[in-house]
Amino acid sequence: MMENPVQNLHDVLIVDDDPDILMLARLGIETVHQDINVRTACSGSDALNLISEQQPDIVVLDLMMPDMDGTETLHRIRELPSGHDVPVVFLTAKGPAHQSWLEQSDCVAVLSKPFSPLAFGDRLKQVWEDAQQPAADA
Amino acid sequence: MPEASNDLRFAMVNVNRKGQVVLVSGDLAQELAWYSGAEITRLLVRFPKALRVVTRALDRGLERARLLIERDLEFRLLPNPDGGVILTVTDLSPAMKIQSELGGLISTISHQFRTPLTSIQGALEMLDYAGLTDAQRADLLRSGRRNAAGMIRIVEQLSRWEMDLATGRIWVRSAQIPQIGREIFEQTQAGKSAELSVSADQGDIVVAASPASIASILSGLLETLFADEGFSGEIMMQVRHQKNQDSEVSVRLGHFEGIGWTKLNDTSAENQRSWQDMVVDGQATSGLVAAQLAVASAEGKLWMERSDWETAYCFTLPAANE
Repeated sequence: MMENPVQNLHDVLIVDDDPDILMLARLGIETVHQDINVRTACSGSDALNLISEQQPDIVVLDLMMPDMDGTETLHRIRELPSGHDVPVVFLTAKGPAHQSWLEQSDCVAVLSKPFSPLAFGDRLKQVWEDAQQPAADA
Repeated sequence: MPEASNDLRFAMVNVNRKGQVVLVSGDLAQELAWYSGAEITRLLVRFPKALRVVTRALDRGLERARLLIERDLEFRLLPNPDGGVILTVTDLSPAMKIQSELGGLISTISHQFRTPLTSIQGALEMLDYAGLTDAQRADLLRSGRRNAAGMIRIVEQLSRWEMDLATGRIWVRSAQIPQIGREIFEQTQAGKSAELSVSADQGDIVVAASPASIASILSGLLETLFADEGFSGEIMMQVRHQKNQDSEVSVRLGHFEGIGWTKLNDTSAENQRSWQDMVVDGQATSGLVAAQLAVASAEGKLWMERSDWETAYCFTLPAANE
């Protein structure tokens, strides 16, 4: 049986209403991984537009956002043709109890704040590869 | 004296020999009225201290409720100086809600700290990295300062809360048994209170149940115990009201099948220990003794007989599987 090779991570979409978090995440990833393209969105609706334009490899989604929070945004992403199977990672400042609850949702991982910007890209690559594994095994 | 809480919810419940609630008072009364005596006694046997149950609220007081309310209720059996037993049901939901809200507050504070901390810590980490442009370094410094200022605002807010707590502008109220006793006493004094009385000396709730009520509660307890074990015979429980309140109570019990009768006021070490287990404050009180006996004997069959009493309350309970 021929195995599907694990794809490389190329396109990351980070969604957070805090511009400082967006700047740090982008800077940290692009400093270490020049081959990864980082797009950012400051709201759930902006994220939906960007995903509609081009499906990212992975979406990093803040939980607490005004207007449309992370769980609602995830729900709406799943309704998009280009979003129904995109891996989504929650990035949250909530505590462990809430993170456990989030892990039951339709996400591939829950990452907590604070995070290391320079290690953030490696962490996402690991999550991405883990998410690819079931498809590669199939 | 603590101030009575308006949030306090309380009910007093009596269960008759058929397992029906025959007397309910307090502001939980309507919800609990739909619990059968057997249900209440089953809860008492299995969870003698506290439990969470779903109570049913009444719809306009006439029909069974369509609304289910989850409450944290505490059931207690307490002795009465007159020889009775008191069953209290206290709603702990307000206290549990406070606890939940406190947890939420801590979670929110943690969240509010983590977000700016992410920016500050991240900025410091990135500033340590040599490959950044001057513009990037300037952005990181601005971000760090902005978020440090945000954290200071949070600390100032917490300081204000501390002051509010100290001055009583924010406060937490808890439910106390003496409050319940006083509240139910005041309520029942205004209405029918023939079976209710309050004693101030213990500082505890002392709403008395009549001997008949005591017996009915015990009936429910025993019925529940036997039902759980698939009892197929007939239970007889005999409870007699003691004429002389100060005289020693004589209790005799044994397994229903008649194996090994035990006289609880025997002086033998083994039986004395059993007896002590059922004595509260050195004096047996009929209802509590029997209730504790029922709970302690949850895995056995028992039959009670009390002698030397003037008034008798005798019940023959139907077999559970009939």
